[in-house]
Amino acid sequence: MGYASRVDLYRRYGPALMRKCERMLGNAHDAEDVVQSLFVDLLRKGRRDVELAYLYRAATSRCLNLLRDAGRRRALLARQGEEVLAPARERLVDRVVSADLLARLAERLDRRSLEILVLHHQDGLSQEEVAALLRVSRRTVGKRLTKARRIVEQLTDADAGSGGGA
Amino acid sequence: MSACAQPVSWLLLERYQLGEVTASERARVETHLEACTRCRADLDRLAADARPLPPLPEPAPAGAHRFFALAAASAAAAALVLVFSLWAPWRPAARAEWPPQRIQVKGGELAMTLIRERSGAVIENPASYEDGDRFRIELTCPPGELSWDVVVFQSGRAFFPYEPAGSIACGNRVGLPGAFRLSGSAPAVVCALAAAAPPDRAAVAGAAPDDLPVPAACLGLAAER
Repeated sequence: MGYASRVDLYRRYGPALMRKCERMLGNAHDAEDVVQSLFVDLLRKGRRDVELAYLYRAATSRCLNLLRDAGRRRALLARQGEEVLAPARERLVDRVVSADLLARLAERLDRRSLEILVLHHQDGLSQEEVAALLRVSRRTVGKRLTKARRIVEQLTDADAGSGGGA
Repeated sequence: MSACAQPVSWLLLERYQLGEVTASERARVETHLEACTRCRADLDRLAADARPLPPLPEPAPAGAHRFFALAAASAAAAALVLVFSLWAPWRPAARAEWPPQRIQVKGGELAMTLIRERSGAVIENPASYEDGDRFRIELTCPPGELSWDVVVFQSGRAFFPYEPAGSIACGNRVGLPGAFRLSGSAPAVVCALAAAAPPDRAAVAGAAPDDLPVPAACLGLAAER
């Protein structure tokens, strides 16, 4: 596959991934950085056997890297407030699954559970679809989502107790 | 708005818009869209999103082993280029990995994380920079006290942004003190050096970034404008 055809891959899937990363990170600038670095790595590796589902998972992983790093998270959250094209449609314990909520969860939740939460509650994949994408059992997905829900409920209770909220 | 208890996932909507769905998936989406104004509106938003993509850097030509050869081949070259050296002793064989396929961080070896900060946005090991970007460096190296320095190769010249360099207690992602900025519009290579004794700046400045006389981890950056 030549460079031009690989760039075609970027043109084809880049916008979808940009929208996906915007939902996770809450701003277009960081989304661009993540998507661009993802494709730079793909081009260097000469990968051609990629489809959008694979790229969705890879982009999720890179966004989580940002959200899980305390220093990066602070800078990222400072950029919140810009409107994203495709806002989160899903809610979890009556809270929008926003970059802010994901950043707070990143301090309390393991990486795999966060990944599952994003794919299900933000990207809207069914539990079966998440299980197929991550090659885990549907039962594992359910257990991880239950764990995530419990932590979100704790956050909600804490916010209510302190008069805050999301 | 109609009820949408089970919205079509963003992934499926994107694939539908791209025409990459199976016949059964297409039927499922279209049946859903007939009854769901919310998902129809979401699909319309995807279709109307005509944002420009940032340019994708052209990767380095295969077989090129020296950064400046790469830069000459393409001024826009922006492939991440990491020179990764085994910790000790310096092994010329490591240069065969130029450019390496991925960043490697292992115990007993030296690795660098280059952190770019721009307008509050932070990214690790970026492929490019623009004039005025601020950078910090974190080193991963075997436990022990080591002297460090940083050198930037740009337009055929070497400069040392830290004055003075110093020593660190090595470990996992140990941050070098302070930060520096890159300026200009030429490709640059940023190298972190670490050795038992302070690196000889004259010897480093006279060497190519993929042939430094001390253990080093380097990252190539394209200029964005």
